[in-house]
Amino acid sequence: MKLAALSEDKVRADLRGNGIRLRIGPFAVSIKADDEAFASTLHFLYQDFPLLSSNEPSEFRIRVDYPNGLRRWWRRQVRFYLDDVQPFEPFPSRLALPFFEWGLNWCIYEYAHDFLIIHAAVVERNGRALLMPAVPGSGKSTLCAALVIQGWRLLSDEFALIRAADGRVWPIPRPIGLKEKSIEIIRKLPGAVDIGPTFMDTRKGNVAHLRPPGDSVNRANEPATAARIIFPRFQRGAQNQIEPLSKASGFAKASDDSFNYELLGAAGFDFLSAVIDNSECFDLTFSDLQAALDLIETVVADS
Amino acid sequence: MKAQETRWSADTQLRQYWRCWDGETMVFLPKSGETHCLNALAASVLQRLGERAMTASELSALLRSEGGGDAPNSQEFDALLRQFDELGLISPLA
Repeated sequence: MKLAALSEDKVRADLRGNGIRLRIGPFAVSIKADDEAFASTLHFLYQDFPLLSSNEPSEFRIRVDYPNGLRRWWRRQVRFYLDDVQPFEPFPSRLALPFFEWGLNWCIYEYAHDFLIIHAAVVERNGRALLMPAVPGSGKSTLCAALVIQGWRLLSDEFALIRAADGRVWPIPRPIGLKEKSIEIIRKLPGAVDIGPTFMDTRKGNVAHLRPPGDSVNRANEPATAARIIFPRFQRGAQNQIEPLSKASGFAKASDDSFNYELLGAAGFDFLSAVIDNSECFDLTFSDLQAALDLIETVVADS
Repeated sequence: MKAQETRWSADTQLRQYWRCWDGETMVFLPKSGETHCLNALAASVLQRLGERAMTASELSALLRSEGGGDAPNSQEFDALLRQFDELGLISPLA
């Protein structure tokens, strides 16, 4: 059963009670929250995600709630808990949903060391994955959202998850976080109808989320073999260009973009080597989204 | 009396974590947890020291005999080997 099968009122009540339990990629996540707007946005963005039975153990047990005392009412704040650990300072309560998203990211890169985790957007077409590792602000989410709207399968906007020396990337499709001007750029694309509310003035500026396509969520248990690695870099006014990169350079850059390459030691080397073995690597510099998409198409056309 | 030259041997685990793509080699050294990128000469030297222990002079002579007329001389090999030693990729034979 999917989250959409529950009414918004039921989701709100469950979040306040025993929690909502969702399968999010390879992870079982239990969520408790006491916030109406959070419940509504979660219901919209995660509507296609499968609900878990109450006897299935959760990897991550997350609670988003309010502190007691003055901050519960005045300049209301919200706290993020993983079990009883509160890893962050409280956020303004209006940012509960992005706080949850960032908190879940933290849970994954902090604890999911069964996987080599690369900070990358990943999409797939014809069984072959395109990885776009990048630091924040490089335009990876914008590219990822545009490719998904064009029909690529979303594996992740945030993480490439690799856990065997077969070069396959495991999906964790979640809402795609869009920032600042990217929100309007993506909203104007034909087919981009599923964007949630805009959260103003977060630490990353204005933020909104593109709902992951149902097909991508339904296929979250189908890994894809890496075939191309493109390192995107948005640069205002720059000439749009894509250039081949040696595999060794691709290896070095991808390991730099990994959260746990060094922690995994030899396994990390083996997992990343398999990805590089199967992939051609490129550097993409762009200032225009459509030009970037056209350039990407030139190097994935045969994949 | 001339001091005896050091004989060097590569870490045997390197063979297991060795990938070469288009003349560039990535190698992982388990004991340090570090990954190194090697050019063709460095990879060739390390590979040979994995096959048998050699001195800088022997290495230089070997590579020259194989047609590498512009191969580094033994002083340049000394510097390369010292760097490998610092990184833990090779060690002197007792």
